[in-house]
Amino acid sequence: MPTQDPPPLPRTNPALKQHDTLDLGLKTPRPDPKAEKNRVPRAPAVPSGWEQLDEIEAHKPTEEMRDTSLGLGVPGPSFGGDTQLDPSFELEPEAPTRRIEVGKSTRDDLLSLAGPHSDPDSNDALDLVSRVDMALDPSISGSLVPPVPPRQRDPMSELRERYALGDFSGALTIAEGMLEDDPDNGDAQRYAESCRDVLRQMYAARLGALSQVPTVTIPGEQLRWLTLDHRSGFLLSHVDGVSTLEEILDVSGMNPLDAMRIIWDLLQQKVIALR
Amino acid sequence: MERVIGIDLGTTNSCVAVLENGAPAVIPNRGGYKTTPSMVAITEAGKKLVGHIAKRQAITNAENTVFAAKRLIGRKFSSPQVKNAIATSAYRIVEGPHGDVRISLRNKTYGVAEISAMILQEMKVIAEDYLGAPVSKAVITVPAYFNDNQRQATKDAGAIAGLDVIRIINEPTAAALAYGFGKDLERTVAVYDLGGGTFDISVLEIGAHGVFRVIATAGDTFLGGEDFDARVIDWLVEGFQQEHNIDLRQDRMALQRLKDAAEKAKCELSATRETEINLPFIISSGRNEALHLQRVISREVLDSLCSDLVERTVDICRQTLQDAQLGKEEIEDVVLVGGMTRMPRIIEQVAEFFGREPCKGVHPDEVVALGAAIQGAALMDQKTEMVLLDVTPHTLGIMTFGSNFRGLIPQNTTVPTSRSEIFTTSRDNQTAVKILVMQGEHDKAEENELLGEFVLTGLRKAAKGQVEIEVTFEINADGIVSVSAKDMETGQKQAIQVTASSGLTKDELHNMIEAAQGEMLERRASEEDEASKQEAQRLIAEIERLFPQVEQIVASSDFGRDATEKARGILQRARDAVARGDAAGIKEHLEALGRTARMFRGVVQKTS
Repeated sequence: MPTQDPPPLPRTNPALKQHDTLDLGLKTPRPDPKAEKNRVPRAPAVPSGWEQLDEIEAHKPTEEMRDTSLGLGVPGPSFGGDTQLDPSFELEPEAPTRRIEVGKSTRDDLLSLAGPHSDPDSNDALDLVSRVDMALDPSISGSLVPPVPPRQRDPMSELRERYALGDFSGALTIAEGMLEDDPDNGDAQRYAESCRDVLRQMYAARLGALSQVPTVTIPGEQLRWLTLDHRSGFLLSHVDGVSTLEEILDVSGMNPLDAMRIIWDLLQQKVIALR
Repeated sequence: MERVIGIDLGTTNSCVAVLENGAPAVIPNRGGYKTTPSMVAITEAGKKLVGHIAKRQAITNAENTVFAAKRLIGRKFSSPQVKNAIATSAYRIVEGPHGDVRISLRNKTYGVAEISAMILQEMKVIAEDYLGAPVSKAVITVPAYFNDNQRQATKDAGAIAGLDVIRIINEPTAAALAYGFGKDLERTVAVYDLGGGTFDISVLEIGAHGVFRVIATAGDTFLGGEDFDARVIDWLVEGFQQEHNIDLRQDRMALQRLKDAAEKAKCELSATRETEINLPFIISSGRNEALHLQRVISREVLDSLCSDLVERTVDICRQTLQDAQLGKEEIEDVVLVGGMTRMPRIIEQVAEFFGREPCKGVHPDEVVALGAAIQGAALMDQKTEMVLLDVTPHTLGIMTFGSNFRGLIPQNTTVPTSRSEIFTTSRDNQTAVKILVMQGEHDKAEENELLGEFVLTGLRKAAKGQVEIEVTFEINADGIVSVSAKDMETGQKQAIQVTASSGLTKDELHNMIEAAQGEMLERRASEEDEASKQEAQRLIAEIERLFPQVEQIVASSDFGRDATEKARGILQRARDAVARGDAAGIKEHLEALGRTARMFRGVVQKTS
């Protein structure tokens, strides 16, 4: 277990390089042909980098997900190499899956995806994460796949795994959960800090210049029909058409990462616009 | 002639004014507001916030937001007012190395004068931006009851902010100055000042040739607009609690929104009979849904919620007139100061008490700053005939046997003044006497403020009560207090000049001035960088807009193609510099961008 050095960022994962690609089929049970028949056909297009990032952010791991073995065997020796491929899963090469080049899941790649020029056809680890999330969370995938039965798992292993996969939101949630139980856990602290740093950069890249001024696009009386939480409501109350994003982040008193995430969500929902 | 700004450094809001073309005018801040909240905050990221932006996060970042620093300035840590402030403030008030008050924000300790300096610096910047020139001189107003230490601390704050404070004047005096500006008035006026955090009532005599004299002053340093807001907040919280069984006070975000909404509603009710408070998504319920707060408040409800507060101000007015042995009929006009005096109920109560309608000719938020600006201009212009006669805010005296306080110069005595009194020794064979100079209204010496002390030695040995000592207090026109003690028999004399202290040493003050100057330079540089960036972005957008047209026009010539290629390069390099946030790079490309934009404009114009 690394205790001294901060967690290295997953530039590349030698273990994964050996395999080059991974097959998602090993995680996802084969779909029921009947269900497949009844299902509304999905657009074949691969999500863009923006969409992939949205999926990562939107699909934070639930308790169920935390307790579920991913079984992907994505460990990196650079993280200690104590996470092993789950032998209980068998490779099903014929499963309807996509092939993903996990070797691309570096931090720089993730950040570049946050930019407007990301390749919409790229098949990389981001997509892998989102598919896994979808497989694990029926609320995300609808009735596509039955939930995987929960399984006890070492949170540190899962944290490393998610981090290596580029699921920084998921990794951060796990790290924060670990820190609630043990605030002095140095590894969890380092992972949490690193995740926050990457996520902050991602959101900063998405939002653009913080000198932009957000404005509310929906009439006041219609706002209440939206599904927002009180934190969104609080940030929204600071949108006055004069204050810049930077000022709103300053005055919110909220964790900057949370505030940026909420602002991004409000933008996505077209509740606010930037000028 | 150098411009002098007038600053009303208020407990909750500050205002800056300048004399322009012979008339005083308030300078709006960057947000267009004529007053700026006297609040300073340090964010989690260590960023300093001053004014409106600090106010907007005052509840969510309460521990690191300083408000009402004026209540602490120049006071001793041990004073009852400071103890009261400690009990009511979320930020940490700690004892300084000289028994003074310091404020701890995010592990850094600041002097109170340093905090006030941040507000003064903001006012200075507002004035400089408006005037387009540096400002270095200012007249700052303080409450009439401020003692010498508080006045000195305010001067120190000005120095830290990079201002030469050429005069400190009393707030009611400034208000009366603005009220009487341009009129040849001779009358007695009452200045009723209900601000955001304090209430003051003063009676002034405006004499011929611009002579202003404060006859009496009193007030309550813990009564103001915020108390009115608190009543509205209570009303909203209780209503919500009844409806949803949720206490909004437990959530800081909700409380911040309630505070803003309560203040807004209160202000609106000065102009309308009822207003709606609408706070969607105020809090999340246990069922994972957000609840909304929507209530209508009427002027009658506000009046009933705050009736006792209004009554308290009237009681203070009554007591002040009584102390000054003045009848209501002697008050010839009432000047209202402070935003709270817009509240119709207050206007009615004041009119009822004084038996006359208050003066409507002055703006309550601006009048004090306007008066300070008038005084500043008068000080710079030798031709102006204007004499400000101030009074001693507190009784000055010495400690006598049994820890009693003996006043020599009573409160509200017009300065300059001088008073003497004979004292005797209290012990047999007493050869020395210690003179403790104090300021205050209590009979017990320890309850009053110690201004200084000295010892008169070499008294002849005699039975107690035999040796006579004359103690003389003198206050000159600048408010400097001198105290002397003379042995009546030998003529031997000792004297001190009471030097007011803000609690900061010279070294501390020097360091704070240097640090503030450094910060100011950084701020100006950062503003310059931002302006360059915005200009670059504007030019980039213009060039990008014209590019297709220009490209089409010049496509036929090699020279044209070469020019557009070069322009493309300039555009790309400038874009990169902006994206990198490279301030030096942006500045470097500004000229080329400007040239390109001019060229593009020319090409398009010629062919259109």
